[in-house]
Amino acid sequence: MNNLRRAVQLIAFAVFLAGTETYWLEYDPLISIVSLVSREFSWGLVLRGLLLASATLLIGRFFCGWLCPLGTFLDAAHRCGVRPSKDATRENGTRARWKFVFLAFLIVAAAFGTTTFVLFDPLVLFSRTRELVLIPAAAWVGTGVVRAVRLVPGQESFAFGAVENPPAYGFLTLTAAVFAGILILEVIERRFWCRNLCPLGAFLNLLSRTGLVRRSVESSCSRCARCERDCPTGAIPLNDFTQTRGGECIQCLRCQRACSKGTVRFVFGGPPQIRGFEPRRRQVLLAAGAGVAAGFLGDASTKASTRPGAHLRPPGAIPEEEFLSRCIRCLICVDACPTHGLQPSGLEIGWEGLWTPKLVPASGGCEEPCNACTQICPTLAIRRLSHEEKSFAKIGTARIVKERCVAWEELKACLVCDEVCPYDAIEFLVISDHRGTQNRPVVHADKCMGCGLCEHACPVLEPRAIVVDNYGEERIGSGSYITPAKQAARKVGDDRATDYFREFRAGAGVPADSVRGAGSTPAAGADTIFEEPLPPGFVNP
Amino acid sequence: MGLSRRDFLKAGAMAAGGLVLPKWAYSAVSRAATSPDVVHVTGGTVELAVRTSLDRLGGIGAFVRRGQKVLIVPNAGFPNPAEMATTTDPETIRAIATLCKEAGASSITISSYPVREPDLCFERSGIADLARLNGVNVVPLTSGSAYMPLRIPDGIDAREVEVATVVRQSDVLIAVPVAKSHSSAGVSFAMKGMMGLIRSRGPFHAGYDLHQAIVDLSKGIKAQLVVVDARRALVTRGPGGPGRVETPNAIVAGRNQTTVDAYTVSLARWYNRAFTADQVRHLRLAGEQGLGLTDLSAMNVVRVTL
Repeated sequence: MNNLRRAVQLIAFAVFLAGTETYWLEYDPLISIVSLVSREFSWGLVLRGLLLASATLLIGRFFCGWLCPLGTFLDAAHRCGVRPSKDATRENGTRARWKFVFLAFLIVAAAFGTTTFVLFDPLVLFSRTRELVLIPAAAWVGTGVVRAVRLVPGQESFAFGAVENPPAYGFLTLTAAVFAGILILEVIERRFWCRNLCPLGAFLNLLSRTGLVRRSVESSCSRCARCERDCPTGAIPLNDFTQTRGGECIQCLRCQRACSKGTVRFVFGGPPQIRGFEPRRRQVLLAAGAGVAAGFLGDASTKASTRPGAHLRPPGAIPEEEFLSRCIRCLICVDACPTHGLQPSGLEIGWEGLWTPKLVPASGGCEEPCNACTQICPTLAIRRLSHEEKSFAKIGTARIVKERCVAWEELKACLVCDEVCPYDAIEFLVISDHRGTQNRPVVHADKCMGCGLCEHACPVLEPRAIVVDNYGEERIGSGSYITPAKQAARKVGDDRATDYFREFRAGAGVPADSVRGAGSTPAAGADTIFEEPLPPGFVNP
Repeated sequence: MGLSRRDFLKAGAMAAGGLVLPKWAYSAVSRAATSPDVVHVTGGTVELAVRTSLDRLGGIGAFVRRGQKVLIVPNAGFPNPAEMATTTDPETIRAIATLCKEAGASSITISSYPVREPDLCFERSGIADLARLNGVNVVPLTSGSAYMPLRIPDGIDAREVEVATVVRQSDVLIAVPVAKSHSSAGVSFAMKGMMGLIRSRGPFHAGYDLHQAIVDLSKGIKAQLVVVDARRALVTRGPGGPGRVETPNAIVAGRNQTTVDAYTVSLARWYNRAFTADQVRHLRLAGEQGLGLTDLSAMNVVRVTL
């Protein structure tokens, strides 16, 4: 049975790692509870949360022992030698209460508007570590392998696209540190995180006390204490090995394997368990008070820090306040982004914004035929958008910093912002000034969707000569991003340049209020004859 | 494609010759060689047109010998369908790859460094699908691909670039650009397309004079065979489009990227106007620096209508 458990653990771990973490998170009851207390009621959340909750009510806390990827990771670490020394004193009780206190704090804080602490949910925590640390690290190792293969004669141009550009994320160190911290705690106590800190564990603990699959020990027990020694969660009391603490047992069956007499079994409807650890009333009240305080502080910190203009949200992100309460900081969206433009936020919008996704154009733009990040958000903080909808979801507006632009300032033949713009929002106009006559870029804000491809491509580095700020971003919780005005604006651009040259050929003047052709049209009028400007890259014969 | 000292000296001598000799002498020399400078095939299926153009150049065997490694450089810069004429039509590339296979090429690699996200560009342009052909590798270049320094001693602006290692590893380089306008280079055919084989394009726009740098690059990287896909031509809003697409319905092939590019200028009304090749700055500079012919009357052109 222990081999079966190990196989299930490995498969579940592999399935989680393989990119199905979305579904896991959708069915996480702690996320459901936090969502339910922090905003309006939804049956969908209740039903999805109920799946694991009711299974736990019926069977017990099997999730922690059999399925949780973080638990599996810690079990593997234990096997690899990250474990307490054999004669370490086993402490029971005091620390195990912490998790309930933390759970109370987390739920009360969420009810008072700060859901940030759901980032300690083990599935979220592991997902975030996967996206920010494990995958980039694996890609980095892959890059090293690719480099090594290129040293082999005949393989100098060896390519393996998936690892050629390992992503680099901000706040990676903090993410890795949290994970490393959980790992190091294993030295104090096996499954330290699970038995003392995990809020999801605490919640499942409370539910599992009615579970029907229970540990049963026959009276022929020789009191060898092996079961107690092997129990990873301290569910077997030191003074009576035949008893089991309700809620602490994760049904991993290690005690069954350890038993020298074969007296331990897990049976449906087994004997009643003894009371598990419970927090003191005073502790819960204190945690609730702290939760209220955290709710207030989180709110105040967000309100006090103005969101900087450079802070862009992914397309389809719902209105900011709701976004902050709905986002669980799992960062699956960041992993999904093919250009690695999506990055975790730091503290720039207050600590409530920590680990929420933002688009950093310097790292990568938002590609036009891509809607990957809008397809996977487990809590719909980023709405599900079709390709068409996403291409109209405006997240900001590009601005040319003329003093830094080499076309404006140095008359260089640079066009990369226009070249990469998928929305045709940048146009090169012939403009004259004291430096001379040159084709210079201008942004049509009505067509710009703020994707940041231009900022990413700009050859002038930090700060770039074209930057996107969140002015004009559309944050709507429902309804379509596609409006007739935007459709019309996009359509005009399709042959704006063609019209431009046709106008000149017809001898028609340029409207006086237009900068078009400013280099060659001192006066505008239908009968004005002027020289047609050459398109960029051409010279007179 | 290796750049041995001999190749370099040969290229240098040819360039010097081009500078010294008058134009009539140059064209006389090229006429003396039986092969035409440019083959212009109109109409027909793309497969037939490509095959015909190659036949007139002496057959694919004149370029690809059995066992050689072929590198095909298309324009794959944008995640757009071929109909927008911002990328080379995969069918044109397929026709050339098929010919190369017939000639016994040991491997065929299709590579280019797109402007936008590489995987998306190759996928949406349809070029990634060519990997299904037996013996064809499609390798989008990224900043993480293998590159090596390439010195261009006779370069004026760009004197050293990092060129994709796959270029050095191939025996034959075939450029298959699409004909399109370009909002800073004027037009973007084979010469401009060589920027798809180098890592850092930033300095080309921000540091060097772009037009001269394109010419310099053509001194360093020379395709043995150029086949311009001018069945469609993006005449406005290039290189990214969407712009107006004309249909010259032509395949233009030749051995010299400057000459073929210069001829291709005559096939469409760029920016809705008639331009000569000498009016495109990088082509004019290339002609002046002896890289090829820019005067149509000096070219030995074979026109075929299918």
